[in-house]
Amino acid sequence: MSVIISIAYTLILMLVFVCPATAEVHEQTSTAALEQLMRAEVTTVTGASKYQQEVADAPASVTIITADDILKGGYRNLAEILNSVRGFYTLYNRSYHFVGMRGFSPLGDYNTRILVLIDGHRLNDAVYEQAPLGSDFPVDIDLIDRIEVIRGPGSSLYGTNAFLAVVNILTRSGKDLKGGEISSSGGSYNSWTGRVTGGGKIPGGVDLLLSGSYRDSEGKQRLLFPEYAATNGGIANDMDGESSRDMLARVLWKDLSLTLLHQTRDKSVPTAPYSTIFNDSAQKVIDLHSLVGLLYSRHGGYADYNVRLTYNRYEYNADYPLDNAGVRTLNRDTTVAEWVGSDLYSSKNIGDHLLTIGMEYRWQFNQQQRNYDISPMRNQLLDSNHRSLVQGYYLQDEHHIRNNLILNIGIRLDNYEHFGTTANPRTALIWKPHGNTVLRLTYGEAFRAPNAYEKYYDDTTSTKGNLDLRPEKIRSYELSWDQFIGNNIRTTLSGFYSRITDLLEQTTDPMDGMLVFRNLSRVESMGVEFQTEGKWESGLSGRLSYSYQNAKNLETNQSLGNSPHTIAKASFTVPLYLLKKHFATIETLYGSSRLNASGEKIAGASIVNMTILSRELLKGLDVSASIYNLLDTRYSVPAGAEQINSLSETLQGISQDGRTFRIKATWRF
Amino acid sequence: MITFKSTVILFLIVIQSGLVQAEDVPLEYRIKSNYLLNIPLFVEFQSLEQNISSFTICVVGDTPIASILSESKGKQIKKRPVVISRIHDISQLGKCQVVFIASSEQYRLQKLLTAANRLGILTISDMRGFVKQGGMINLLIVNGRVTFDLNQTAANNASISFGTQLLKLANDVTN
Repeated sequence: MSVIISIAYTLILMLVFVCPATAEVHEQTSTAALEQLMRAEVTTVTGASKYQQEVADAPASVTIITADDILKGGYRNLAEILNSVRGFYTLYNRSYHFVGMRGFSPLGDYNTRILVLIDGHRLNDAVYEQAPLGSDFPVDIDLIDRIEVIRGPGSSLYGTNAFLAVVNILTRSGKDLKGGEISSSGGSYNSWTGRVTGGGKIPGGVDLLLSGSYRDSEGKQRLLFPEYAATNGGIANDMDGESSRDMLARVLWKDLSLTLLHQTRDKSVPTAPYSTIFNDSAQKVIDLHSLVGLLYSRHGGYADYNVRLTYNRYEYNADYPLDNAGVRTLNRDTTVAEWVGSDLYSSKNIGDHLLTIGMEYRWQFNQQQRNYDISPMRNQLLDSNHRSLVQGYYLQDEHHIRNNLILNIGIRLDNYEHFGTTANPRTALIWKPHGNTVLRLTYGEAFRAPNAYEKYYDDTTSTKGNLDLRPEKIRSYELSWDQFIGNNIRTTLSGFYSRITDLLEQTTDPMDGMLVFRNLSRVESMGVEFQTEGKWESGLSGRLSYSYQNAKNLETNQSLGNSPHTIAKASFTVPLYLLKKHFATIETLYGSSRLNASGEKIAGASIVNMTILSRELLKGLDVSASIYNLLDTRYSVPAGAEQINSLSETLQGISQDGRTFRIKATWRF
Repeated sequence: MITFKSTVILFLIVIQSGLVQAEDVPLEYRIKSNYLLNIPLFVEFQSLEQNISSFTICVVGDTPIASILSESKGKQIKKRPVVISRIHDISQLGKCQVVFIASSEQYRLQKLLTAANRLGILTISDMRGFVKQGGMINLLIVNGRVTFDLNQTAANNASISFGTQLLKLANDVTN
């Protein structure tokens, strides 16, 4: 294996020396100069303060990922993209992807502590409040223009779920397309994708984008779970398949923008969780996401006004084959979650202050959870219907005390019918002692309200609800130092300390042996992060990051599950100079060991991925080839407590894919 | 870990080989300055008199653009050498062919625009809502890229017309 490493690196090293660091200066016609200016990326963020500002001025530590980064990195889903971000790590249990940061991503959590926005519209659903961050993310990642990752508590603007981070995904518009685009890929495990997109400016000043995609994969044909050896030798046969269909429409007209999306995705579940029968082909999950988001945004004049209206629907269907005293029983879990929301906010400059005031209403009018046996007999176990209103009022002041000193203070009050009001402030002091140094001190509080699943899921046999739940709360401090070295290099050093109280956890009630959610633990997490990145006009770029964190449960004084101490990432992209418009990207992702639900250590791993991208191979044709897990490293991720089959055997770890490949072609016309 | 270490070493080499001279100004302003030098190439100034020997770009207000522009030497627009001038008072507008109005000038924007329109000067700004308030070209950031809105009515009123290439590249055009 080390031979392969050596060869790969030698090859890359040669390329590094062959290619000059700066682009050759071509004599260009003047429109080309303008078009080049229009393509240059500037680092601004809209999700950190609900208006556009420079990343350096934002009241939080922000990472921006562009469409170009996604293309060059060969990423296949949102989880892979987020896994390339400093301090983030993922867990794929072969049903869903889970994303953690700063050492916090409890096993069994459904990504409820990250808020995900599409074009600023909340995507977390109204029952589990789950952020779909993996292959269940409802937008084809080719349609992402950029991603803003905003670290730290964001409840002061967004309310619940903006607990660890806010991820704002901005989609492309018709103007970027000016025509059509067809894309297709094929790869390991008989995986195929296809996409057709069209768009442009149509008469009447309307900017339109329409897109539809599909993805199909057989998945790994034989998945081995040694712990389940009693059934079929521990092999899940043809239980890893996945398919999805999605569509996106974007309409921009004057001050209005409309985002419409729908996705349906189904995935076979090979791990036999929740006491189900292993290697039973009936076991699968289906997720349907729909979102209609309308934004009216008016800048200039007396103040900036924004009106955001959103409709969000999520449906979940899971089939569980159970062993009911020797009788195979097929059980179905069905959830329908619907909400409509409005968010009105306005910003105005008054002297040195930029004031923002806003209010948000979210009417969760359909929170339906059902559980029933389908066969051999229909038997209703749970039929829960609820609705609830969330109201939030927020205020933020960005005070430019001096030319190089900004104080940003914000607070939001959220009102919930069953536990009342919670107030969450955030304050940031941003000091730029020199033009290329930014020091930022932030303190923020955030909350996560108990969701409908935690409150009302009561199947009368194994799980019961709890109406006495309080919101869990995080208080977080962060000090960061950004240093720009020249035009091309930026380094970041940051330290953080967070304390979580009233953590919502599932536990067994000793009185009746039923599973129930309770506000239990206090958690403390602290750590440091370092990153240096460089980007040059020739297309050469590199990024190196290292995070060390220590998260522990203060009640038990033990390390948390699924919480690696060390995360290190390195990625660089090299233009293949002799061939022009061709780029090679190599990425190494390292995460140290993590504990699983039973406290066992699951070894860490270092994974290398490589992508070669050829732009304009023929007119309008981009082709890329990727190899994932290039060194074919065998590794597993920790299993949660739900990974227990009908024979009460439990999984320790869930094995991940070895070396796989993908070839992708995109044609613009 | 070996893989990781080699990646680190490689990264350092990449950085070293790529080190170029340092500048302290954010990219955003360098891009905007470049726009100021490139956009006039696609604008027809009907009042540009033949006997004017230089092409003057004026900057009013507090913005890093002024200092970046002052470093641009040897540029030519409309076959005339470019002169950069920082102005403070509306009475100084007379010599300008282009005026960049910084966001700090919002309080006297209408006065500036009225004077500039009367003199046939191309008005450009990066303040929010500039076009809606009667300005001609608004530099703005959309999805992380600097682009521009055009106000054709305002330009035509000052005997200025935008070239078709410019209209085609614009983010939005107000007629």
